[in-house]
Amino acid sequence: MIRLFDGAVDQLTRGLAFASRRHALVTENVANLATPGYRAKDLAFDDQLKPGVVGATDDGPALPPLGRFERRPRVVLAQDGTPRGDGNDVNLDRQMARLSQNALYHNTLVQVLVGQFNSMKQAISGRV
Amino acid sequence: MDLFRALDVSASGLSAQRTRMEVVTENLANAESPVTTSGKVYRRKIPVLQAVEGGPSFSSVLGGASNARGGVRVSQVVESPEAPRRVYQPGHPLAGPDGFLSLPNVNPLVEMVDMLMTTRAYEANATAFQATKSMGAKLLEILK
Repeated sequence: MIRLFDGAVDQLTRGLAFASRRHALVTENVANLATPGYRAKDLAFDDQLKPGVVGATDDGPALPPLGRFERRPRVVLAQDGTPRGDGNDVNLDRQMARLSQNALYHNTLVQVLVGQFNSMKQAISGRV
Repeated sequence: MDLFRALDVSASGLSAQRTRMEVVTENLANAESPVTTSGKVYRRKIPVLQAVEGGPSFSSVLGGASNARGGVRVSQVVESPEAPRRVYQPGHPLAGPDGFLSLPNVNPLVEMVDMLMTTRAYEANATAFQATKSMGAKLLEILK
């Protein structure tokens, strides 16, 4: 039996949650482009994934199953550049790049998720 | 819902930049006004932007915080403490006994730069808003 959904949908959903949280932070940075003393924020990503990747085996999912990611990703300072004279360190170019990058990541995840559900639909309908 | 929060944050950014633009245009319009309705010389106005802290936590929403979703707002508009420009115009009805007239401490060059910065910031917020919208539209494809 083909295991279509061995955690894939869960992991995609988690990825989507991460992408939308990160998107909210980027929009906050853009909104505070001219606020004195504001420091750009970002979500820590790498060190959240690392334990999952290290623990991956050939016959297991690369990411830990549901429940292992219960800790929400940390909000950290983006530190994109040195603060300007007013103490604000939002780098608009980087933020806009991050915005596009994150939107693309988000849309890719959605596309894969749609593919998963289409497979499920096909399996249910019984047609080849 | 982080995407809805992102829309709110972008909207707060758009609103703050619009207020900033209003202040800049007011300064420019009054660059040569020696007197306001209060009888004093017009002083350059400076909008003070303030980051609104606070995620969508339950208590902050329940506590009725005015803007619990984060973003930015114009907390106050202050008047510039710089001294007014002094121009020698002895014939002017508002000139002092020494013949000098006090004109607003508005530097049109500074205002034009502020205006450019405000425009770009507004555009950046609008772009972020569009990106959020497209992400939301993409999410709806799951339902198809």
